[in-house]
Amino acid sequence: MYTQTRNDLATFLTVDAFWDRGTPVSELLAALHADNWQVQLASLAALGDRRDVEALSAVEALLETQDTLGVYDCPDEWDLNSTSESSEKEIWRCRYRVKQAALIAILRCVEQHGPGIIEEALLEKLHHYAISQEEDYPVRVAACELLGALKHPTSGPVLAAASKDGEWCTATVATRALASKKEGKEFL
Amino acid sequence: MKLKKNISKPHSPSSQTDCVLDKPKRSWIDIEAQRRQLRALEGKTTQKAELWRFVQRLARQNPDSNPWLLPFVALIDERSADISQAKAAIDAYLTEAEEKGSRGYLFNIWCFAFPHCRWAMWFDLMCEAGFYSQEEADTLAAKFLLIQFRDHHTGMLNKPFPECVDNQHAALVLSSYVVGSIFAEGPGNGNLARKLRDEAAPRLEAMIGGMPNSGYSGEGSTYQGLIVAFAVPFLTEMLEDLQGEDIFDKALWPQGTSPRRILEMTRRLWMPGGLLLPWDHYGYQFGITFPLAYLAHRTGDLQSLRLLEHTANIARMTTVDSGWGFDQPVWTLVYWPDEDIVQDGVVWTPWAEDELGAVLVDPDGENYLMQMWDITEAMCHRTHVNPNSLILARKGIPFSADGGSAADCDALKYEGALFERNFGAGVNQTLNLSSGCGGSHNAILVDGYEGLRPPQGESQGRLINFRAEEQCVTGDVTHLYTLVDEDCLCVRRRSRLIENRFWVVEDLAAFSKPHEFTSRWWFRPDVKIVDNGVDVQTPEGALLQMRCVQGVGEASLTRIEGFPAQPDGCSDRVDFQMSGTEARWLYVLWPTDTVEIVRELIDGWEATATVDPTISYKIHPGSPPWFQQDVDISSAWKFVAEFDVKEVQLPLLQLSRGIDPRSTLQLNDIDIDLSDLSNEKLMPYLIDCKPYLKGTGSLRISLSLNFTIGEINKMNSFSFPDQPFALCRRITAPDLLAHCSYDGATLNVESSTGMHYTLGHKLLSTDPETLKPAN
Repeated sequence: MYTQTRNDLATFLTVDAFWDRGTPVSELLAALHADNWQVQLASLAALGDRRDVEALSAVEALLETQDTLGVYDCPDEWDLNSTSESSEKEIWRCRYRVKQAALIAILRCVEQHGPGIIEEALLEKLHHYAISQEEDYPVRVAACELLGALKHPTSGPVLAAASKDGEWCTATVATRALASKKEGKEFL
Repeated sequence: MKLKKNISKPHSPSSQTDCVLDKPKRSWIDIEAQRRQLRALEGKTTQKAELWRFVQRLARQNPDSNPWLLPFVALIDERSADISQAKAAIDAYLTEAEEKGSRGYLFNIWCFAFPHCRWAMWFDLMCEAGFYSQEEADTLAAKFLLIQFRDHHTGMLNKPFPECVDNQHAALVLSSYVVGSIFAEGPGNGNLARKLRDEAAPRLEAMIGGMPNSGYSGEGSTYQGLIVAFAVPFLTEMLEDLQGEDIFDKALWPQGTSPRRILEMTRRLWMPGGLLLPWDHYGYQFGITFPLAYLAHRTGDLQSLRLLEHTANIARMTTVDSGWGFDQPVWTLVYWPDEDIVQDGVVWTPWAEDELGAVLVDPDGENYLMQMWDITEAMCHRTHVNPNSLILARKGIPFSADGGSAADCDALKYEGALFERNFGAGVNQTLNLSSGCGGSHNAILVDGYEGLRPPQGESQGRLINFRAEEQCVTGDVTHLYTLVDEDCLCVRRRSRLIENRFWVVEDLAAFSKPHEFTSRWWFRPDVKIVDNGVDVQTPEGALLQMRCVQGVGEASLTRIEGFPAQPDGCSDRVDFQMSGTEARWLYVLWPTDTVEIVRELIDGWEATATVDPTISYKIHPGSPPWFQQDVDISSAWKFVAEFDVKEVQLPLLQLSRGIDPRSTLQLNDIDIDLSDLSNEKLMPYLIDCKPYLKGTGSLRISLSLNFTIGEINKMNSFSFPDQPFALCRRITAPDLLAHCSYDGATLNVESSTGMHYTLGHKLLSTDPETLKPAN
């Protein structure tokens, strides 16, 4: 699924430049298609920091791709040994991380531009992420965080369910999101 | 690459204070000052001097097994061989770190984040010392940064802020802040590094200020001592750089807790003898020294210095993966103040915290009682439900059993105590919380409900009376019981230490409807039922006579194998039962010694290292050989001695704590089975010598030990003794409890040695007036 992440100086200098002011958004968007997911991760983080709404569709598209990639298709082993397939290790290295970064990038845009930039389809996806036990909990956490920022009336029951998640971080963020209000409208 | 110079101001934090980083950041360690201080230790015999020699020898003679010690030794002594070894350790760490990827890694990422930032600190110091070329430094810095960004920073972003204040979040925040700060000026343009730093910076203050005001994180001694208190010095130093002022006593955002409160509470977790309070899943264990050293460094705290000098087990330094790494000996050395030997023994004082608990103890630490009611939660895995539970100990030997079950133990299966959670796709966890529930503690149970735990995070109770000078404490835990039984009116316990000699404990449970009440106690083996109570005789010879002078004193006794896991691998559960709307018990608990030391066995030993048995040394087995003489470090040693024991009618041999059960021992050429010893090696061990003497009056001892000489898991088969072996005997006329009674107003207690105690004791009241705040 992924090539192994590289932690060499050249890779570092590439991603470090993502935050240079002179680096165009197009370069960051192109990096979303890199075969090194660590570059994707950095690109998402840099796009989030730019809060550029034009990047939104590309980030959403990346989420769609992630949903079909099989990011959780790895053996449930506590400690992979040296004989484990490198591809299995790589899945474990990545798992939730690109999805989480994508959701945080969208959150930054929402914080800057307001909830109106979000389409119905993404909202449904967030509702799914927030309570899906098939997702790693950081995806549930990030989805709840984003739903808290969106404050959409239809999210109340989802957040109520997430607030009862057995995983503490998810439940805590969902509870906080549920408690927030906007313009007199409440979730429930 | 410039390191930590003129670091620019980070993004505005969300905390209450401004950041000031427009100044050169001080170095992590003043290496020149350290060199002067450590050279001054030459010829000294203080614990600090011993530790420094130990660290040097371990690093030089066994570098492959002690990577965490290598950078510091290289930085201090600047020998080329040391520097090469230290650089190899950095390379090896980074190679391993970038390869990691598994369930155990991903869902416990904080365990790897804190070590990552400390390796980065060591690397930074080595860069400053000129150990690397610019190209080498940039290449390695890139690895540190990319791993931090990929693994640890994403972990930090999972943690709810500001709600989450615990060891995990602190480790992740510290890691991103430190790694980001180190490389904020490069390699590259420092963009990624500053992002890491600036996203962590707003969270820093809450990792201290968000702790409860008591300074106790609520995560038990293990995580408070080994992780939280390990991180606090670094968090403090970082915050002081960030805020530009001394914050050690500052009430930090958001709860107003200061670093001092946390470190002083960490010191309070130490019980006389050196074990930490066993109120979490991990039970009794040794404390670590770095938090004590830092507290002493900042405050001159005499108690910390005394604990470091007299109580801490320095011999086990390399077996403690504190802060999930093995460099705490080094950080201890860095901050341990340069004081001459602290001659006085440790002086113990009672203390109390409103939402936590209280300790009653005599100045010598002979009789120690801790009563607890700390905040707990529904998932009582680490934070236990222990409403007014007691820990009792005599001269460092605990009577009380507490902690978690052994891995293969299924003896405790309480109603409703299974807890399930889902971390991610296919990564589920089901926990049996029984050992954390109320039924596994010295507490009142109602209608036999052992699975007592709150539906969510709750304060269990509060302090309603504490008088240090009278050694008296009363805790009220009514709130916890009302969560289960709405008709609960009052559940309280009062404990008293009388004339520094014995305890009186009173329990009161009052409900508006009739119930069956159990006064439950967990003791270390062996317990024997007697009239109106029990006798608890520990393997080390401490005796506790427990007598009920009010309430039903008929006890039932059950041996529970596998709980707690240590120090004995079992316990004796004692229940007293009453029915009605109100239950009241008044106990007298009389601790005493039944064994005494005749003499310590320091002289007369011949020791040989297995690697070269032709050379023998005058070294005893009560501490590592290299602590006693300048000998080469090697693991396997044999000790032989012959002692005339005719002076003792029924001699006992006391092995030091720290002896591994897989050691081999012969007494007068007869093999001794040491399998009863605990893997945790927490207690000294007594062996009755009579069967082996065969009338000779002479005891020949042959003992083989494997000492720790590298960073290892403590469960491995290594020994770390820190006390001399001793010849002991049973006390022929111990100071026993001879009589006790209560007439409704006065307690009368008599000892077998003729001491009489007459004391007034007014029973606890259910009057709401008494629920006023504590003194």
